Amino acid sequence: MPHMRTLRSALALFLLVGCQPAQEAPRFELPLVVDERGIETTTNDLGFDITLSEARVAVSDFQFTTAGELHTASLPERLWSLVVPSAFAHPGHYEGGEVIGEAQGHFLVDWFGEDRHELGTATLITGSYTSVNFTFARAGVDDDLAGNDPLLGHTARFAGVASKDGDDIEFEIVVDSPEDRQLVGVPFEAEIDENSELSIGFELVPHDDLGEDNLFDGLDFAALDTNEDGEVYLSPDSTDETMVDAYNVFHRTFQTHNHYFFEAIPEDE
Amino acid sequence: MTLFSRSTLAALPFAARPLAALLCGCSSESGSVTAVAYGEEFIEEGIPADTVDDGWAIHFDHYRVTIRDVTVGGSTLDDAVTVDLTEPSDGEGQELGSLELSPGDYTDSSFVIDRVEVEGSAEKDDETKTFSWVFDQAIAYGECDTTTEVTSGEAARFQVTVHADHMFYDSTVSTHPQLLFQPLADADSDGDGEIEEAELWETDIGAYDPGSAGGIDDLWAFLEAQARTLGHVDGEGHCHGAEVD
Repeated sequence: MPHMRTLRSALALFLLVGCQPAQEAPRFELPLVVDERGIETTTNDLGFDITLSEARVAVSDFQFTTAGELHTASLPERLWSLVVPSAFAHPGHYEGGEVIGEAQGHFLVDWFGEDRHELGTATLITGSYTSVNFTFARAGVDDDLAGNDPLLGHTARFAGVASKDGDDIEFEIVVDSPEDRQLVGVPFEAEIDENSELSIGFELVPHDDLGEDNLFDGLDFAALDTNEDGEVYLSPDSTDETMVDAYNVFHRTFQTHNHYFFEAIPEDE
Repeated sequence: MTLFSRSTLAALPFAARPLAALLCGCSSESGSVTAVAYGEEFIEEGIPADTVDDGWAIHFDHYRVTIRDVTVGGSTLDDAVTVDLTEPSDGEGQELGSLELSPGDYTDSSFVIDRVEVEGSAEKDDETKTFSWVFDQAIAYGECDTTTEVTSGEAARFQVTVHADHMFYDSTVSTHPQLLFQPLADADSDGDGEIEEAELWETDIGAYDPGSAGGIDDLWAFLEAQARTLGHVDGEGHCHGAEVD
């Protein structure tokens, strides 16, 4: 019967198509570099001009995402799972966008190191990128730090000078973040495909123009200089109530996405 | 005589089962889902001191939640129901209502928690603090991570599980938060023993972690943020939560 043959042919075609392995999305790599352009003298909400001389942060596992929430059956996830299935810690409950790229590993970001030095390699698929997530880490012996480096065992270290009314106060701030603390939603607007010739720059942005807030907001360096020696030191080990409060304020701001930025940098720039 | 036997119905693709059940036309093929709200032992009996990282024991006198729009398999309990989760339930929870559904496995459940009223106290050593807080921002919980299996002639259960301990987490984002009460106790600035909303408004969150977006600086705002995460399903099942009018 002709219509039975047609039905069998259609069924065979359906099975043939249905059994084809899924098309792998083109996967490509781009360098992830430290971008120092965001570093500049800024002014906090209490009128202190902040000039940084050191800004180092230990992080791990960058995730490059596209807008929207992760749904387990969504196309980008299926595509990405074909190439890097390890990207998803909490499928279905992830609010940071859909992961379509990553740079796995531990990284020590030094915004006062060699200009645009390469942190690592990001593995990506074609897409409209909107944000980046990463996890705060702790600096360790594998970071090629000297044995007496004050960053060892900590997440971040900032140093610089806070100036106001002609007075300069040198400061050092050491920060510890919980090792599972992921920062989600760092801006990264870029259209990227396998022909893109660019690197991805990771910036520290002490002053967030959009939110008009400063990484050092709430820190009254003059008040914190309790012994008036012109130096302020904040750390997780601070015990003085004023210092603890100041550390908490900085720690909270440090862990928001307002003060980081990712940008696609053309190769010829 | 029916068009489909039970075995035939079970063999049908999931999406075809409701239609098949309708064609079958026999009421014995349908099942039901009893929706309940449960606050677990933490709400019915309290959060013991050895569970709280700073040693406070937390007891709830009332934990009233108003829940509406419980939806399983496309069927919805429309009426809002207020239940006091401190009422002992032997693990059964407080009933919200019942839904009739065709047999099948349903994964598209959702619900709205309209309001949460929490009254209770916390004790440590010889110190007692009381609290009476209302969180009236409605939160819609959807895409819940559970499957409700409806069987012919039997009553399945769908449990809205309220995790009271989330309100006392020190982080909105950590996967391993501490459970703390001391910062709330310290917010009792007038020392009258009651931790009032106004006092929490005036208290910085200190070492609490409000997450990557920031913008939460006082303890009341922090508690409000945590109150948006109370709703779960069938124990530990997570849902997406979103503010609604």
